[in-house]
Amino acid sequence: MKMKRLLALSLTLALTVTTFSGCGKSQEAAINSQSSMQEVMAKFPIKNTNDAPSIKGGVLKVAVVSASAFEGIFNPCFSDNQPDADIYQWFMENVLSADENFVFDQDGAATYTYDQTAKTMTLKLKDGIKWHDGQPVTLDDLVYAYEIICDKDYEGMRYDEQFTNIVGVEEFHAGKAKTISGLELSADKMTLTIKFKNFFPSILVGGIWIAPIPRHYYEEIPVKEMKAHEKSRKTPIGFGPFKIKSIVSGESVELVRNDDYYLGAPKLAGVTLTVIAPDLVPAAMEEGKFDIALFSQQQYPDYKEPKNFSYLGQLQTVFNYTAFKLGKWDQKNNKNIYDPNSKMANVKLRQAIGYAVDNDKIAKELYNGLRFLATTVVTPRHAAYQNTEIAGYTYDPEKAKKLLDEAGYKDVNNDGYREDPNGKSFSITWATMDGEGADTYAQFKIQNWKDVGLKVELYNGRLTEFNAFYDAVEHDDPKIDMYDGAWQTGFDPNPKNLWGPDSSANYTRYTSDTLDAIMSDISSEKAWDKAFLSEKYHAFQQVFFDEAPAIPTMWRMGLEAVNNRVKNYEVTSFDIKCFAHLIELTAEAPMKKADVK
Amino acid sequence: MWKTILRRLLVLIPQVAVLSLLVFILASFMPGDALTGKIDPNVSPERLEELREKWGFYDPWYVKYGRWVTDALSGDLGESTSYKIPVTELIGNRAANTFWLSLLTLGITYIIGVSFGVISGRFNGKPVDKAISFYTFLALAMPSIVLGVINIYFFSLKLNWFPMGGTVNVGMQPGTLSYFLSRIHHMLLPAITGGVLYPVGVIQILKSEIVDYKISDFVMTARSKGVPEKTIYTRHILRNAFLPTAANLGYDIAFLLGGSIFIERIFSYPGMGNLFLDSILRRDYAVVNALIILFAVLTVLGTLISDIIMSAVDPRIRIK
Repeated sequence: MKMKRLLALSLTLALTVTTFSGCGKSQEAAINSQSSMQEVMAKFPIKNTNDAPSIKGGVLKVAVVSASAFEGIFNPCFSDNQPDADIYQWFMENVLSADENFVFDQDGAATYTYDQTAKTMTLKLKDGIKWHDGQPVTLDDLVYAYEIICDKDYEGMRYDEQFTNIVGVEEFHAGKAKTISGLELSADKMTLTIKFKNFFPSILVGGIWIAPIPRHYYEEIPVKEMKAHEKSRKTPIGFGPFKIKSIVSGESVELVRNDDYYLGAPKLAGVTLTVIAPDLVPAAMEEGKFDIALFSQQQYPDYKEPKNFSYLGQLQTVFNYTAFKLGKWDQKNNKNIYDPNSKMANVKLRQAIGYAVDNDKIAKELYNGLRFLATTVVTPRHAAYQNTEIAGYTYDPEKAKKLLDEAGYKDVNNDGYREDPNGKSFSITWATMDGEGADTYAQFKIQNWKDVGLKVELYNGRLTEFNAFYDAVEHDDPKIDMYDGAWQTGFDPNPKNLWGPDSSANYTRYTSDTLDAIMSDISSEKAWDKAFLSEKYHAFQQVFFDEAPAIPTMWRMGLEAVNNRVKNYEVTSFDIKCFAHLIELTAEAPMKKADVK
Repeated sequence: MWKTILRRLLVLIPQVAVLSLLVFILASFMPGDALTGKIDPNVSPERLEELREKWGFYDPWYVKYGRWVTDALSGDLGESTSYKIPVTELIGNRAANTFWLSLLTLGITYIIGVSFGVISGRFNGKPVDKAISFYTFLALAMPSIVLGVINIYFFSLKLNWFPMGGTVNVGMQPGTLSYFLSRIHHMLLPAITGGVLYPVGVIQILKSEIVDYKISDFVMTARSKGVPEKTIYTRHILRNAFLPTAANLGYDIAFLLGGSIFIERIFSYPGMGNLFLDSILRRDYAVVNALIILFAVLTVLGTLISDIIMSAVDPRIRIK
């Protein structure tokens, strides 16, 4: 699973008007927020309960919530958009599954062992697994996926560190080798040994490519033509519990049961997946048009007590943050260069900005309690690594004022705004993205900052469109002092690609010796020692909190609406756990609101 | 007349050339590129540079433009960066969807527009005219996205008469009768949504023309000669009153393929309007450029068709 940037605010058209009233005060905001998170988690289970007797077969109707048509690239090597992945996960499976901490486990199509000293990982595929066309699956198909992605003609986003860290990949990519020397296949093609250059624990946390591509099926199709080929578009095959029956380009996909599925024939007769505009989801769920649909946080308040469906929820690996521009990206050496004289370089100033904002209130009121005050940049979904002792930047305007006073930012001309330590007028330019509720969000925060005497102005005087925002932030537009963004971290919470000294995605451009040392420890071979790793993660979060190159603001809960006739469904992605074959139905058609008394 | 048509088509060439140049220059000012929304911190900056280099993002706009023109002349409009298929294929798929939907919408628009316009003009000031005026005000004030949601709510969700969106039912076999019927069924609600909102212009123009002609000299003369009222309308008034409406028909050609962004979006209908919006948001330049130029060509062609229709129906006008 990949990391990605998110819109800070969701873009749905829900008609919710939120007003902020008064100013809340809470020293215990962090504790309250933790307890409210527990409450919300208790309210939204991960798995649904349905004790009714199940029917035989039945077709599950899944909504693909998207404002636009799906692109329809059903080949994980080339696809890079969510709707496609939501669809192909029903018929394409990976060779490894993962446990609740996202670490590869032994329950998938293959089992694995690893050897720290030899820096290898060995995968062994179970016998009798067949592609949808009846051909046996082998690990040569996995090797094929590596050969596609590492090919010099491959134009996609997958060729990254995950691959270049394998022995022989760079030679293959440069065209100097015919095969990837670090991938050793046994004679029966059922065992594969992968040899790494550096071997660290992150590799076991979703750190290798595990989606095989049927070599026999693509035969001699060149890598260049593969993404547009009808075998990736119209007739894709996998070895998952369902197989393709028909595809209506950009709109819907019909799947039928794969009786040869290696974990046992699925209970359902089939699945249909249909695109639906986000605005129509609640009404469509009430009228029983779908069995399963993602539900937006903005739409939830109007449908708190649904009758014919229920909500499942899961904490997401997403955090929102406010970050500061503290240096420059050195393009030549691929390094971040921290500028200790930059405008936001005073750590007390940054901390004060953090304490000044009531993120708890934003989470509760603007996001209807489905977001929570974030205390660190490691999300609660990665509980094993999270440092729960950090209180986070809870709302405390008095503390913010005190910090600003200490740092020398004082209002010398009594205009209500603080001047900088030299007595010159001081205003901060803040970039934040446009979207539903973005205006309220921005005005609320600007007011909070004003309350402690900080003058904050929007970048270019307005909210910024997504592409323009990241373009400006990425290229270190000197006008931006501070920006709000969101990251989805994927399986591995390793911070080095978000905050590391040589990561171009560390848009703060902040580096510090302590922080960098801890991050390199997390990615070192010493980290195989679990206690060491956990200690380093905790230390990372503490130092990050103290040095405050960015202020984590919110974590979030993802909601799915599930019709009452569905049985054995859970919100866990099939990437982690294969259970699609166990899903059952207890009625012939989805229940409607009118059916339930 | 053929000479005129040929000349107009030739003028199209410099027009498109200038427009495409403008589009390219303006597109180079858009912040971000196709990779902006997809950047993954695991991908090294060198790799991103490699891709941007490969896709020619760093070339100055005139190099890009030169490349685009040479390719376009051989029928290659480039490849969509998000859909990863040739632009011509992508637009081809979408254009067919939009064409049929717009044709149906246009049909409904003109049926309502012409009949209401005639009634309104003939019974000017009567209750039926007032009712039609009320309808035109309502249609003018109602955004299509709102009516779309209302229609889906009542007709798709509550009454279950129409599907909620898309172009065809899941699992239909192309080429069969049921496939064809399912497509019509899917088009009806979006077409009705547009079809009841768009006739305002047609009704108003037709009505005012009829009202004008009703009191014109030649109609008075005909009436005084004792020509029956029905004949006066069919022979004298309507023939003249239809002229501006007929002329407008040509412009609707552009609309026919341009599609409606709002209606297509709310009905999840994969057409050109939807594609245009998505491509802008995703910085899919090849698609955006091709679509803008296509819309421009259609507009010019529409004007030409309008002129031809005018000269065909009105002998007084001859294009030279």
